[in-house]
Amino acid sequence: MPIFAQGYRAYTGPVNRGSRALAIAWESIRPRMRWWVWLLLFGFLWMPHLIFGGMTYMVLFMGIKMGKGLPMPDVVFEGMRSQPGAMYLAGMMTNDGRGFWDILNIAFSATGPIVLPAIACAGILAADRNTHALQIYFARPVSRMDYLFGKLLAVAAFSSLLLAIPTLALWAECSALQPGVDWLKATWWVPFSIVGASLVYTVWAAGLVLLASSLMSRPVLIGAVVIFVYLFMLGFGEVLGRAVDKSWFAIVPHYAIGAVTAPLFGLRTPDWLPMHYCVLTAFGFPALCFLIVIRRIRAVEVVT
Amino acid sequence: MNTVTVSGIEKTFGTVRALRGLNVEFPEGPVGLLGPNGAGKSTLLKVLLGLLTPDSGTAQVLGLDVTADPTEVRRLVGYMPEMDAFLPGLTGAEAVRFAGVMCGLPAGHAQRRAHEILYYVGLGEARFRRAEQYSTGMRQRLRLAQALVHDPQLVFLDEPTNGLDPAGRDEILELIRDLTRKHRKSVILCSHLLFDVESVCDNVVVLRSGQVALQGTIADVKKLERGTYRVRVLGDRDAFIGAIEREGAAVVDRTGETLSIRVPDGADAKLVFRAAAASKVVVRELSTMERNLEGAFLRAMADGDAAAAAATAKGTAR
Repeated sequence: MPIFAQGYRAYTGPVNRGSRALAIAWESIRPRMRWWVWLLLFGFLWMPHLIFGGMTYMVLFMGIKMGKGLPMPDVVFEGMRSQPGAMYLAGMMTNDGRGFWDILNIAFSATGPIVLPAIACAGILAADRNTHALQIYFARPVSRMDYLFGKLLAVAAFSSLLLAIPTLALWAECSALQPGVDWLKATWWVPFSIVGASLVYTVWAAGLVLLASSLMSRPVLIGAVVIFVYLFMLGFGEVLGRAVDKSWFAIVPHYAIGAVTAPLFGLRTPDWLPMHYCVLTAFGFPALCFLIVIRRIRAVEVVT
Repeated sequence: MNTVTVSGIEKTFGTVRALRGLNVEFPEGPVGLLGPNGAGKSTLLKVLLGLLTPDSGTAQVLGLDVTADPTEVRRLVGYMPEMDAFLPGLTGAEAVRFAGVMCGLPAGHAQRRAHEILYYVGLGEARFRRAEQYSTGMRQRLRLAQALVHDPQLVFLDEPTNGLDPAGRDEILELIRDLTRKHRKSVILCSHLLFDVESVCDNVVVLRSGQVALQGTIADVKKLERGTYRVRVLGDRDAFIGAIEREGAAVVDRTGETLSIRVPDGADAKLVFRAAAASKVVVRELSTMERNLEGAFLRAMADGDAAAAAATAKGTAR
């Protein structure tokens, strides 16, 4: 059709004045959902959850009685258990639902919720700078906070695929397999706790990924740096915690986030883990990341 | 009525004064924004889009203060950037739809509007192809479609014909003419191609060192182009240039074999012959320059250079 055949028409439809964050998030997620991401998700990283689910089914099928199960006043981190984690978790599924704290903590310490967004979302800010796509946002009625919140949602979505979603699925599975509604009545609060705790984990992971993506250009380097920083914090905290003083465990991300989210599941944090250090690692670290990202993403990069 | 009114805008980056108390008004219709690199065009655009806060002064776009309500300003204006700006992996239709959604159009409306506007800019048949596969001309049209998707009252076009072949350039210019003449859109056309500005715009603003060097209708600006001659000499060219400058005239273009010489007000071609006699060269060609925007632009730049040189000399003398 030649130019002008259709003619220019004035737009008379409605105009939405709300935040564009959801649209930005979706447009950041959509092109990143490639086949290998699905393969990674379902083939490997969901596998532990499928195993836990299977074990839960078997435990219930074998007729193990419902009840309070193992007493769990304090949180116990995976590296400190005498019994194998999977068995422990399978047992926990039959009690009052506090074991879901374990599921989240172990899923995060297994590095999946960091590795997946680190690989899939490495270029989430860098690519916009490299391809001048910032102009698409900032030359339009989109604020910097809208943009960053949209990107945060996108990274958090990838992290949630390995945290909140499979854990909620497990809770639903447990509920469905119970013979009566007693368990459901006793654990109705668990999904809220799962979502709340997952938010802390995913925001932590998203902060680190966004920081790296705002500071560097090459996605491969960004992914590598994110994974390195996470593993460094994990290793550094573990070594110093065991060799010097247990308070150093607060540097380990899953210890710190586990500690601050334990109250959501009615659990106590052990005395040897100082809560104020955990708060610093769990909330202070991502807050610092976001502050740097906000400084780095400037609208004036438009029209260079 | 003016679409843009800038009053005393000052913007400094470190030690560089990008805009120096700029006062300028852009009337409705197509207006060309010209100026050499570093003149302050990009800074002005950033201020008008509400992306930069000026150190002092005010700017109003379509009656809205850009510092007080930058988001609303960006809702009312369209911006076509000089460089490619689309998310990788999107088709033309998706890229325009996304631009519409970013402007506040609901997803369904943005989708319909994207198809309409892509037909308008001549990309209807190619709208389902990935934008990365587009040719340079198609990408320019895609950027124009992104700027028009929300039906803005005012459109900023930054170098819209960059990298296009003559046919593609004509088509883009024809689109801009159609927008401004038939659909009454106001356009600020930022370009270094004077011909484009001359062929599309009714008004022109020339910036130099963060200030307005020249402003008015194209017709008025062309009238200013007087007293400029093309001269070709046989003999010592440098000596001739020296003599010309001693006579108070300015050599505004010395890049080719033919010199462009602008004589002071009140002087005429006799000055050229006096300089030739003084420098012992033979004038082989002498003609008045065609009255066009290019001449006026060069004159404005030369005036600025002369003023800067005078100011420097004054400073040195002190």
